[in-house]
Amino acid sequence: MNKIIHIAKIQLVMRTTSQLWRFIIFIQPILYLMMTLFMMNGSMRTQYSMDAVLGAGMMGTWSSILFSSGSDIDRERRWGTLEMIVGCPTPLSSIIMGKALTNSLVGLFSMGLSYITALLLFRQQLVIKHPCLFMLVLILIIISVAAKGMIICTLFTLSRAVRGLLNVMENPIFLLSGLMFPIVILPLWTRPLSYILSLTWGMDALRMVSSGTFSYKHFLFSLVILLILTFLYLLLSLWLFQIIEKKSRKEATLGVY
Amino acid sequence: MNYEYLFKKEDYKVTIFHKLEFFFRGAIYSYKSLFAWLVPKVYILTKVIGPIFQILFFTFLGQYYAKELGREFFIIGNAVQISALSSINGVAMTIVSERTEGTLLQLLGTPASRARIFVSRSLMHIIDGLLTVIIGFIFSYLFLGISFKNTNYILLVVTLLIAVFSTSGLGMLIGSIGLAIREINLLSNLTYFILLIFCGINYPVTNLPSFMQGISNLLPLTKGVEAVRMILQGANFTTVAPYLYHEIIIGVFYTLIGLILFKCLDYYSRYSGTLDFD
Repeated sequence: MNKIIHIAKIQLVMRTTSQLWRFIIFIQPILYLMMTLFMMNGSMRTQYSMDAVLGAGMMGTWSSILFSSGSDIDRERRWGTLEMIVGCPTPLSSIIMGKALTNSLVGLFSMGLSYITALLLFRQQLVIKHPCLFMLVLILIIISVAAKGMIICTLFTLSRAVRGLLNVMENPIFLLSGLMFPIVILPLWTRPLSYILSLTWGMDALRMVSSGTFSYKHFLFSLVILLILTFLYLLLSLWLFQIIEKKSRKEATLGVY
Repeated sequence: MNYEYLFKKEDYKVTIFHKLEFFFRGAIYSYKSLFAWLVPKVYILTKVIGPIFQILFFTFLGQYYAKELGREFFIIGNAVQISALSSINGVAMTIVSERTEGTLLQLLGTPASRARIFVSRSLMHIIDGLLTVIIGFIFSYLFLGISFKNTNYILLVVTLLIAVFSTSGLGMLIGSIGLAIREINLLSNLTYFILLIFCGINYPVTNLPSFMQGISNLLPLTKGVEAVRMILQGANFTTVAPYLYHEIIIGVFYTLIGLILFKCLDYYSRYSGTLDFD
């Protein structure tokens, strides 16, 4: 655990040197929030500002995971440090887990900044009705998104074809997870795609506890699905890590494929 | 030593046709060799799939939070704005690539007109941007039910060309700035979002605070998108003409500012010899 925390700290320091990363975490979510709030009229703004803040924060989390975790292994490869990382006693999966946790955790900055923007620039009253449950759901979402980041990291490492998707995966997930609006307004055929994304269930639970209008049965259901999906993501990512390690030892092409 | 006697004067006389040929050759070669998205897979993902998801995302977002505007408002706004991928990011990338690919020194060493070099960098991206908008409109017609029943197609294409030209003026300015700073991707991404926020793409400009509305009128696309919405509702040239003139003036203004900056950097590079360094 200490190793993972240490790796997470180093990852944070290293990522902050990238201006593009700073744009994704600190500026882009605020811009999305501003667009959404300008779209709403007065009464809608009073009713839905908190939802927009949560959505903008989660957008920051997803973009961070996509652009950071998606390129983590590739970055090590370009720096020439990948072989050393794979060769060191700490498993590659733990190293990437530490990196993914940071990539996911920084989404909290996005959410915090979105909250301050809505509060100060748009003068909205933003109340979280159940702060403790809110924190619990937020922590679970961060772990879940980190697990998803591990899958992305391994898939992008294994396939050049998948790596091409990096630049276009942002909006589809915003759309399918219902980060800014409930998924019920999407066509029915997209529902299965939304349901396999843990962010869909996480956002659902987050909206419930922030607004305070929910049944515990519905809330628990969303929470349980979120946990199950997170567990499945972790299993899938560990399996993919095994493939990477086997492939790299067998073919000795770690630094080039 | 004078070597001029070795050539007949007509051998090295540059006619207007030669100049046009240089212009178009420069436009095509810079696009083919310096545009990083030209690989078919990357092009389709970045210029077709990505923009389509932008149209879908903002259309659903608008449908939920601002139903009264109607879904066509969001579809048209985003279908036109996605051209900024070419006219902002593409143009800026092509100008900056001269430095990253190591060809800037040779380029600035030629006696060719700086204005011709500079403007030719945007030509193919204007055509490419128009193509992106057409793809966006075809998708919207087929899958989102947008109607072209009352549309004057020629006027629509001319308006789109003017809007893309105007945005590429801003792209050229950013490209010039990119010759002086490192993080050009950051600047072009930020500009892309600024257009989304200020230009009435996803809400009427009147939704913005008054000081922001002032900025909107100084940016490309604001009047262009408004004109396109009117044309799709059946407006004729006389109605949209003021919007088009405004858009042309904005485009020329940004192109000129960009050119002046480009020339200043050209002069500075000769003076200090540092332009080729990151």
